[in-house]
Amino acid sequence: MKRWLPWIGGLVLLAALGGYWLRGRLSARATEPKLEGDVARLRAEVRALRKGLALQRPEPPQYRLAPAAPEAVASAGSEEPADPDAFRRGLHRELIKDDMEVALNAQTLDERFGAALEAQLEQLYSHPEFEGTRLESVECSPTLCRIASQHDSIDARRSFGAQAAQHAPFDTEVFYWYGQGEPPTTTLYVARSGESLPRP
Amino acid sequence: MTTRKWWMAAVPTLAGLALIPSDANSTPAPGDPANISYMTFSGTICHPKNSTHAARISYSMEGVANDSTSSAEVWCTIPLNDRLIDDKVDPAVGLNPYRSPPLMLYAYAFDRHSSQNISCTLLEMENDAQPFWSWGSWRSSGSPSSFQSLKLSNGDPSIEFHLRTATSLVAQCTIPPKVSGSTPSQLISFQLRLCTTNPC
Repeated sequence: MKRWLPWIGGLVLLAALGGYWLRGRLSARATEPKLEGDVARLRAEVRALRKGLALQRPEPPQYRLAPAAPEAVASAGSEEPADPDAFRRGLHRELIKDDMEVALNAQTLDERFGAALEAQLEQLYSHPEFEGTRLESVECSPTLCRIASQHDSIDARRSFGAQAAQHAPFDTEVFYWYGQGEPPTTTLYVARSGESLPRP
Repeated sequence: MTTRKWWMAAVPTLAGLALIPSDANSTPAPGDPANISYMTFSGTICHPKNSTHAARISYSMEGVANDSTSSAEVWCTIPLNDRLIDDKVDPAVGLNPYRSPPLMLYAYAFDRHSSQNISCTLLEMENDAQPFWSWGSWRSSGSPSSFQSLKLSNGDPSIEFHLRTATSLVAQCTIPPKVSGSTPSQLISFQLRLCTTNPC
């Protein structure tokens, strides 16, 4: 009888170990649905948080900024611009103009240079090829100038745009901005000699 | 006995992947239009500014020349290749706002006037034919017997330009008058180059 005792003890031990293992398996299986539920809840929470963040963000620029080209104006009641390509071009111009203004305002104005440039421009605008164009304002930083002009007509503005780049101080790098209202206006952002306009 | 772990198999696999060139699938094959890095155009693409200037110029296989004793102004529309401009949007900026990769425009010319130079200004035009951006100016120098390469801008080899609309590109050029007893000054050709190195 004593011979069998170790065997019986071994079997009992194996049964105990087997039971323990089985209990762990069953317990793990029982927690799986709970874990899945937790993961699903966490995912839903993250989605809600993301949505909340998106709602808190300012509207994307393409909906915040007004289109510059009249043909790009959306038809009443429609969310899509009438001409998406023209709308994109208008937005593009707006963004570049914003960059120019930021660059201009980030620096100390060079009033002395601005005054000298104004005198130079008054003389340039008196040439016959600039007929119908008047100088409105000049503002300069150490790297670029904003030169605003007003025109008698759209034709005068077109003529000005076609001629300007061949004359100093417009013979550097220049960005052209056209006002939409009446009378027609042009604002030129002009890099000072040896400088470049800001790049995105 | 050495036990093989699952991650041991992953090490050589990952090492093998690291040896594959990252641009293996993006390198264009020879002859692929994506390989285009420059385009050349004859000076005959230039048109006189108006009828007065039309009477001063002549065309030949050498481009456009000024045969008169007054300066001649010509406007040259530089064709844009969609492979060179549109398909290679600067990844730093993305599609909106659009900005082309850096470009250089060279003008090849004979400047045979001792004191006046050939000069050009570059304008990027909008669809409505108004300038959007301009760069100036290129100038030849002296009057050597060989041709010259005029490069935007002011001889600084590192300066390049980017197109923002990719609609049309116009070079406004002035060709000095013909000197008595000499052959006329002329614009031979233009070359638009995609900058593949930094600086260009």
